Amino acid sequence: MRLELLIAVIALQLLPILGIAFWIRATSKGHTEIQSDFSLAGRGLSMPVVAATLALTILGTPHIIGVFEMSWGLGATAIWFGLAHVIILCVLCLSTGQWARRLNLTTVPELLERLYSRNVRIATSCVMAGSIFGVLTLEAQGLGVILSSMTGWELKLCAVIGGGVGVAYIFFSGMKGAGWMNLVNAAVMYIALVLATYFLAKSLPGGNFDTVRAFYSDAGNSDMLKIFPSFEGVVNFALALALILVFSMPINQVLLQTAMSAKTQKTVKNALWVAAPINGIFCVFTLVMGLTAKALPEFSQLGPKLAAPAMLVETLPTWLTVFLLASFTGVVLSSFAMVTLAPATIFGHDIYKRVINPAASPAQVTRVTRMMIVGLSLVAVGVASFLPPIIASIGWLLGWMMPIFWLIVVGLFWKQSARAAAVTLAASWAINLIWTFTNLPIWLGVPDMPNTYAILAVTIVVGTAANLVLPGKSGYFYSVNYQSDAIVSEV
Amino acid sequence: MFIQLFLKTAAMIAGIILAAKIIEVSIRAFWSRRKPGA
Repeated sequence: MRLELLIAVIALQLLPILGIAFWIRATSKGHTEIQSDFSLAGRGLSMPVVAATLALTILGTPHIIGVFEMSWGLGATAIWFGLAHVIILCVLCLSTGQWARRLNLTTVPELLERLYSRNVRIATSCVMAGSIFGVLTLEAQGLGVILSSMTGWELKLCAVIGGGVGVAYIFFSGMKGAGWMNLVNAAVMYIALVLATYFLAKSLPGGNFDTVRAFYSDAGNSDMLKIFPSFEGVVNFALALALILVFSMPINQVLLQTAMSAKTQKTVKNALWVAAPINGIFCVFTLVMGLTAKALPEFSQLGPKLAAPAMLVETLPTWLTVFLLASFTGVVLSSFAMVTLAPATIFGHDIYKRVINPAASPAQVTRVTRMMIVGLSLVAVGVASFLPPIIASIGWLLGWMMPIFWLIVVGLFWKQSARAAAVTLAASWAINLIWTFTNLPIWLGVPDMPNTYAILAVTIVVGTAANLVLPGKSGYFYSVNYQSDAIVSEV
Repeated sequence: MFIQLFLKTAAMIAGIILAAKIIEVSIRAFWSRRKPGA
């Protein structure tokens, strides 16, 4: 099984990665590589590639192992985890993604300099790159966990193997190669999921999922099969999750880099119709697997973490188990690759080129970006191998990006005030730290309230007050700069 | 069970996209009246 899995991962991941890299090199012979070729695929990605990349970038370990576990406690309500990501894609494809492409941006902090000041750009570069690096350690750990649960190998070894393949995913051919690889992985993933669900149903009594439904109904738990949560579920799970994701991910470099790489603004807009179903439907498959594992006594005794993986290994034919697990690896690798590329691009463009070496040539910036990909991956794999599970920190990490979303919307549509921006960032980032590391939530009588609500409240209140009081220019989209800038691409 | 969950989720996704499109078109219409080009 281990050898078969290794062969399947190599066949389904490494060979296509190298093949695509070779094809890109061959087709771009004689063409001097510039930075936007590596980081932004020369701004030439087509709609299917953009859609697959957007869908797979935010589809990682939490959609697999996370949903297996969530289905255990929440039942079908866990589907809202997938639906929250559909909302992210809607916000991105209909607003932030289109703005990023229209303004020909390379990084999100670059927009913040255009709206506010160099200092705001540098501050957000550091925080955004750091925050994304935190997510990268989670992805590296998730990659290790998923490979380890499939093979039984040690977590450290799995994290190293996964990290190595993840670096290859992005290192050789940059954004373009990763985009095409994502398209391959989206297709492989759905073939594997459909086959696995079919064979799983066939292995159950009656050849369908009726016994699973009966298990929940007979035990008086038919609510576990309902997708609409209770009021408490809405406040504590669905709303908090939707807020943190919707106010952080659509301005995250990880996702916007794909939008920036699209052929036109319209490509980003049209990608929604493909990206949202690819991403949203995925959870139905993992949810059904989780619910089925809980309904089968021989697997439910293993607990929420191990039941579903063990069921898949035991129930499906070996070739299909290997195929499914290799496709799951591809899903996690696609996120790992994009989460590595984003902070490396920010470092190359916003720190190295903007602060350290302003005279750097595009080739030098690309070299630095490549070095950062390798360096960040090595550190992330190291951190992932030695730290305990740190998935709970995701809310804290994404919280750092919530005020940046506010600054972008305000700066584009209302007012450009560098001082108000600095005050808003300082207050929001301070409350994230205070809420997490002090007893303030307990003193306020809301010990269980997620940091999301506190950051959002401070951002809106302080941000509005600061913009009302402090001087500034009108919103960028109303400015003479925007009207006259040659940067506005005709679409 | 699978088919039901699949169809319900697909319907929810379609609903979310349509709602987002309606909000987008409304905001765009409101904004273009205020300031063309935004």
